[in-house]
Amino acid sequence: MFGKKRGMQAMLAADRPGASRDATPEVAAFVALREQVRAAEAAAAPTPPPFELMWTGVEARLAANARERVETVAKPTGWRALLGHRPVWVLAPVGALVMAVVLGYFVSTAGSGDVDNRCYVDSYDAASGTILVEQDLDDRSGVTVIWHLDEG
Amino acid sequence: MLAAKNGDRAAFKTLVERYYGRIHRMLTAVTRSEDVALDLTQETFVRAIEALPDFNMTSSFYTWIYRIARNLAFDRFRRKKTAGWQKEYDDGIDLKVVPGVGQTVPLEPSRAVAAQQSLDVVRAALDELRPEYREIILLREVEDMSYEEISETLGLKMGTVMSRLFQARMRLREILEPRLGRRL
Repeated sequence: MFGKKRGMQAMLAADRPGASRDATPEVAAFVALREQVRAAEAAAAPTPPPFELMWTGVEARLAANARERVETVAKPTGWRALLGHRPVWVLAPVGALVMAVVLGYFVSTAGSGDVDNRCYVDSYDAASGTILVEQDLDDRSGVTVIWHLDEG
Repeated sequence: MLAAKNGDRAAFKTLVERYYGRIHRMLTAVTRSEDVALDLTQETFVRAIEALPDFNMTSSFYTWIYRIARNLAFDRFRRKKTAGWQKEYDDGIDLKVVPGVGQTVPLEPSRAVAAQQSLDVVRAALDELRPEYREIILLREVEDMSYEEISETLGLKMGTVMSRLFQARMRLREILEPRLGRRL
């Protein structure tokens, strides 16, 4: 192996037309590598498929794509897809029904959410900091939370 | 070319006939699967026909079409990303056992067998390269493209082409030397 700079110079030299294994060892190494790759790929070069077979496949795909495009253009989207050939005004009763449901919901739930959000907080100044005592009136478990605020 | 661009399907067919073998060979070399290569070759020309009106002819037709082909190949590679093309497409289907791979033991004494083994080892080493590395080596060594042509084909700067080619070759050497049992 050699450094990147020398290696790069050798590679550029090896890629010039007419470079041969007789050059410096670095250049020769790249030439040798090229010969190996070329020989290996040439030995395994695929035979291309018959042209007509390939072309038939291309034409079939083109036809399928064209059909797909026609279907996409013809296919309505959005409101049109929902309505089909019906006029837009047929949506009016549906809208009225939705509004009635929404209004009904608000009317039936009004006043039922009178949650008591009050809570009592006492505070005491202690030598080690402030003590807060918090009691949530809405909490039926009657839990009291005591906070010790260390201000240090 | 102009006739094809203007929608002449027969003219396009002539162009396809001229280049499909080359595209198929490159796709086989990059994907390591003739079936995948055939599928991608057909798709390449389908995309080309559909995009032909947008072809601005600033690059050669082959460069343009190769770019479509490699984008399709790399797209598929990304979508089905696994260890590599060979495993991805040919798993269980006639996987070739490569003698000598991973070994540093001396090869068969017969020179012909040894030569064949050596070719198999080189191909196996190429298979192990990242697709971007394998591609650039194949463009340079098999397609015999100049740095400028590679730059245009892959849409890379010249410096990037040189640097990637250098890294690819160094990686290939690194894989090959212990397997061939000699310095390259």
